Amino acid sequence: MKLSHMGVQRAMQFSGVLILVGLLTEIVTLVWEKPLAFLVFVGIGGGLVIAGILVYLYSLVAGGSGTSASTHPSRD
Amino acid sequence: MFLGICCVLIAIVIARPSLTASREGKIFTFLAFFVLPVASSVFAASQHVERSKRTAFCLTCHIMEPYGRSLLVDDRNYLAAQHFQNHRIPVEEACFTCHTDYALYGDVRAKFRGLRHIYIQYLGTPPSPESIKLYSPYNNRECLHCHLGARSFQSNEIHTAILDSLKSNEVSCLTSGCHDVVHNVGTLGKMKFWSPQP
Repeated sequence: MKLSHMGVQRAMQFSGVLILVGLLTEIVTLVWEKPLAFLVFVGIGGGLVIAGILVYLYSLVAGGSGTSASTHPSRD
Repeated sequence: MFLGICCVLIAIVIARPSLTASREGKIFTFLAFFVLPVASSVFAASQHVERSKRTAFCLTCHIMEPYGRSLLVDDRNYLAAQHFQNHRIPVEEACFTCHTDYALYGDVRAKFRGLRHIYIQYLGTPPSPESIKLYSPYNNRECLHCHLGARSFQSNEIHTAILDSLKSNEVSCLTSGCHDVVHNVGTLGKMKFWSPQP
């Protein structure tokens, strides 16, 4: 599946939000001094960061030809 | 701090997605979305692991409270208390120092046991503090890690006489009648406690 330039930007924004929320969760768990904090760190924080990175990498791969397509509108 | 900087950089890309159009913007995005989050998450994970070694961390679980109190018993026979009060172990990492394995991947095994404890605490049926048992008999290796070669240890004739048996775990330091009072949380109600001066 190929993404258009706008699609790539949206996917990157979405991945950015996932990573941002994941990192903010990690920050909260570093302040929260309870054993449960580590599980939240790995399960929610780590999960969101990994999901965000995967969406970002997917947007790079899927948008590779989409970016070039924007320079060749006739192909759209 | 590191995580905070990472969040700011990501927020910049979210607010201005057009940055990703240029080559420099793509490099910036790659750093903000991939390199820095991975690096900062690894850093944060190591912070979590280091923090989980702290005595205060172990004692945050209600079930461990009597074990924390046993470190302050005013009795020379209480092994854990004597180690804690005389700083024979780092007081900030008292539990971990004695309850980790001094072997390859010992720290990793200790952390996985910790995860199991969390599972039992929140999803299982936690035992009463008095009925908590070690997973396996206490290995003399953990004692000898510090005591072997120490003057106070070697000057004791009994230690030197049975050293080979101690090294091979044939004779246990704790359960062979020599140092058998460790935490003994069941009898804490009758004990006096030492108050460390601030």
